[in-house]
Amino acid sequence: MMIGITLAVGFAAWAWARGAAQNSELNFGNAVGTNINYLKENFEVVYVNFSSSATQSATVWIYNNGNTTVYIKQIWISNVTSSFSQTFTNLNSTKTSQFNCYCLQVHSQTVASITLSLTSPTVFASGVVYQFKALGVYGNTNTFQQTR
Amino acid sequence: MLFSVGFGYFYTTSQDQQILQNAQRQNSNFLGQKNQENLYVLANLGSDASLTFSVNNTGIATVLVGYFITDQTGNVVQYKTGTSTNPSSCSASSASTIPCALNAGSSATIDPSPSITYTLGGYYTIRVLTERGTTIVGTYPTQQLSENSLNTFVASGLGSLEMIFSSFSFYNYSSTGSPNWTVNLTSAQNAAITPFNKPIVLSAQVTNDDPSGGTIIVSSHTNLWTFLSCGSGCGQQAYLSFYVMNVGSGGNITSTTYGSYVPIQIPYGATKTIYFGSNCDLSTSSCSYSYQSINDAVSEHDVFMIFSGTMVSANNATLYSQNLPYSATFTSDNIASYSESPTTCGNGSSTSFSLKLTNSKWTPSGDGINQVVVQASTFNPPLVQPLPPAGWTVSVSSGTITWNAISSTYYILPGSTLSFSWGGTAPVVNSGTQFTFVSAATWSAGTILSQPIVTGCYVG
Repeated sequence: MMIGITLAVGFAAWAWARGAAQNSELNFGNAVGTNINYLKENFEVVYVNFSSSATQSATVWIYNNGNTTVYIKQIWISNVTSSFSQTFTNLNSTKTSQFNCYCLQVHSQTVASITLSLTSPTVFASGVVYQFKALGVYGNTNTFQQTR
Repeated sequence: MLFSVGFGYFYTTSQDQQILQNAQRQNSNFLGQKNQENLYVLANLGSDASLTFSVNNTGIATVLVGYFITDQTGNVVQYKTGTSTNPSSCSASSASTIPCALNAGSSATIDPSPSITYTLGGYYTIRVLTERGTTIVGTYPTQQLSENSLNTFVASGLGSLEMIFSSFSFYNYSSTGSPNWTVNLTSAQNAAITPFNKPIVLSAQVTNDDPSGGTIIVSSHTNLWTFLSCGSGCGQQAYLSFYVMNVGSGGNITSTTYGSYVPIQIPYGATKTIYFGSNCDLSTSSCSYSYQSINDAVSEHDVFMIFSGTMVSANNATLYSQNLPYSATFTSDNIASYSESPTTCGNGSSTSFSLKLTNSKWTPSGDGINQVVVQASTFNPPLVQPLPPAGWTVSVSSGTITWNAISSTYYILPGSTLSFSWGGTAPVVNSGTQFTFVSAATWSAGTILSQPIVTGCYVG
């Protein structure tokens, strides 16, 4: 009976220790994975063109200079004094279920573009410096400034 | 238990750490390689006036993955992008197709397709993108200094704006008073000599040579100011500021009240004429446009341009300021303008010159030009010269020709012009040489009684 109790307690202790270790490994692995994804998410906003015919529209070009596909989940437009800003999250007609967003997909080593229109009646005014900030799903941001 | 749990735990975490370190190393290598990219863009015109450009790689090998060509309004005229996977090699001798691989020390020639025909006065900016995300900027027409000299200048603290000395001019007003302040753009004169105590507008051309390719936005605090060095005792001088303003194509001043000034953009590589005339900063609430004048003294003044505004580069926007110790101007009551023809002379040939002299309208009404002297000993002028203008005499002594008005009736009055003819023989030279004639005009009255009117002729 003593042997049985000893074995039972021993197995219980082992099971607890193994579970705790697995939990810790999982958390550490997740943290590492997040960091790696963050490091591999590389992109640049390379140019912005204000439409000459539609003063509320601008086309943004984004280049993926990394080795994995980049998902842009948000583009934020403001003037440099931040007295005006609009946020765009509907960057694709198809939902990216992996990240639960309507992300702009930019494949590795390619340039993707998207045309954004400010909510009426706001327009891009001449002589004003605007800031375009793109946010990747892993938290990287890249900012481009352009004067209309 | 220790072995089965502890070993598993430490093995797993060490594997994770290795993977993370590899990713960090790759990222660090990538950034290091990006920093080693060094390219520049040169744009030019083909035989059919179409825009082409070449990319010269002075850094490590890279792949050109895109370009954007914009016109002077900032609109994208044309762009091309591609993936850098398995690109062909760029070519310097024939048109390259984007994307293409550009080795270290190589060049790529790119002919935009469809072609972009350059029209006079147009201005194009070319941005080329590399596989590592570096953007290189070039312009056509280019007004930049070479990269090396530019970096030297910037490093020495001169700043991104370059001044063009020969463009320093002044104007009068064709209309004054709100709301019709108008600059008489056709009245432009070299501002090496400026009128004393008269309402004037000054202008200068400025080129943006910022090495990061940034655009400079000129704010209303920008001004050109004149300073008289200790004219009446140091510390007593006026700081006469001519503030920046907006001038329309017809000369109309469009910024005359508080808040009406529209910031002037100077894109990278662009040269713009900046007008200075307001006596107050148009961003101050009490400012209502009024003219400025150099009214402290008739004397030599230092001239400075103080630029204030914003510098906007591809990934940053910062406040910008720069002090250009621009030039100098001599403020005078009497001002003359002049020209002489011809300006080229045959080697050893007999030449007849015509000197046209104008007493400007800036000169006070009572001050007439009564004497003109041309020192032309190198051309050995004969004693007998062409007939002088009516009411004037001419004499020659030791190669110096002197014209004198017989009486005040024949003085060259403000706003009037008189032509003086003279002749001489060009010297014989072995190689082309510029000969100058140190000359002067003299007034009958005023504070400044004489002005140099140096002319010359190129013999060759």
